[in-house]
Amino acid sequence: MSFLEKMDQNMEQADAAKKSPFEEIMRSLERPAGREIIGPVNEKVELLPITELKNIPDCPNAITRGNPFKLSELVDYKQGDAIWTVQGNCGLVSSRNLLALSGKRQVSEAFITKYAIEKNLCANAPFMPASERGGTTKETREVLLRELGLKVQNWESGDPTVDKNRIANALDQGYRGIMSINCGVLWNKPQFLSTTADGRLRSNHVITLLSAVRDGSTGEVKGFFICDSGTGEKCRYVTADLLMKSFNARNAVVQMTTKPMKGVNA
Amino acid sequence: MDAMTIYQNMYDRTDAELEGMSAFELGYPMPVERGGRKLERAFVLGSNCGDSRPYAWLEADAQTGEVLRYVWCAQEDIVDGVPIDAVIDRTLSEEIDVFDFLGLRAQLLAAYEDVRKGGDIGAYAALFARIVPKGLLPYYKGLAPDFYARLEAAGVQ
Repeated sequence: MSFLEKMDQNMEQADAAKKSPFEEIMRSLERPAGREIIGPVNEKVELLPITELKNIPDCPNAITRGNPFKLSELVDYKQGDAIWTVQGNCGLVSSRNLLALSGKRQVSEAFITKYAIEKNLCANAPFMPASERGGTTKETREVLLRELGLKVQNWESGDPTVDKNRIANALDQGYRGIMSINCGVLWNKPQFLSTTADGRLRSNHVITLLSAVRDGSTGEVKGFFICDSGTGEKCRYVTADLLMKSFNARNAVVQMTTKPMKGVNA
Repeated sequence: MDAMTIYQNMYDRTDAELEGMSAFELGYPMPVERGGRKLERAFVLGSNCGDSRPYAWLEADAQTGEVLRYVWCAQEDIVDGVPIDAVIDRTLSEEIDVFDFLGLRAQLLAAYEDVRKGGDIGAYAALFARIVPKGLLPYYKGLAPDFYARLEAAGVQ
């Protein structure tokens, strides 16, 4: 059986799987009366239902939209444990998560990693150590996702319109996204910094966005829930300030679905 | 040629070798002399996936800045007997905020330029000892043994 035939078989199995436990989870996340309409008259925007949060630092009235905790049940939060010779595959695992959160495909880390290797969409030089194999760029992730049925839009770091509010607004509406960042900053560990020769931060890790956290009184974006496959945290709260600092890096990008993904956590 | 330009050439060459798909960090440049020719070397290491050891190194002409070699450690290593997938201790000897670290890194590269111009090695060695994890010291020693001996004499251990 060729690789593509195996892929088709996997897709069929994934489609079948969607109709059972996966779809059940999606249904369980639905709240029929929870939608509301806001926004300018000519741009009606549907928002996910509100979930009230406790224990968010410096934000006693914290809320989020959708349910990141239930959503995180759909993610793979540990990279490098499927194919032991490929461990630097955060971008692949995050892409796998984006497919799952978008309700498009339930594929495994092993599947998406093999697929990327087969199509030369990730780093896999013969003399590389396992820790460095599996690396991606925004371009290769975009191709990979498109080939697996999901179009994304790229919101580049450095674009002044890409800020915490734009990202939060999209997540509130049910868009799904992944984000490349500098993990040295995100983890506050200098040994995980990646810098250009002249000392500017460079993107070196990809995380999955789950939801935005706002102050329920003011609407201010206070933070985000993310899945970080590098640390094995499936639903970590990170302040907006820290996340945007880690996003301020060369080649960093948010890869967001082109439309809200209804059916998952809607 | 100045060290920063050579370092930039090494960075560009590494990015090209890795087809832009791998997050990497360059070690700091180190001078070596071979057959009367002045060279600069630096190693390449991963930056996002555990405490991995360096896996490649480069050599550039110190006069022209041309990168002469990109070498995979699996083919020609800078240390003896350490597997390419080995885990090493890359934690710093003191806690340093990442943005403070970036400032110290810039100071180190500036101090290195001074050393290349004949300046005192003391300031460079002090910064080097602060921001280079102990687990990487054998790799710097393997890369440029003579220069590393000067660092040891200046207090790097």
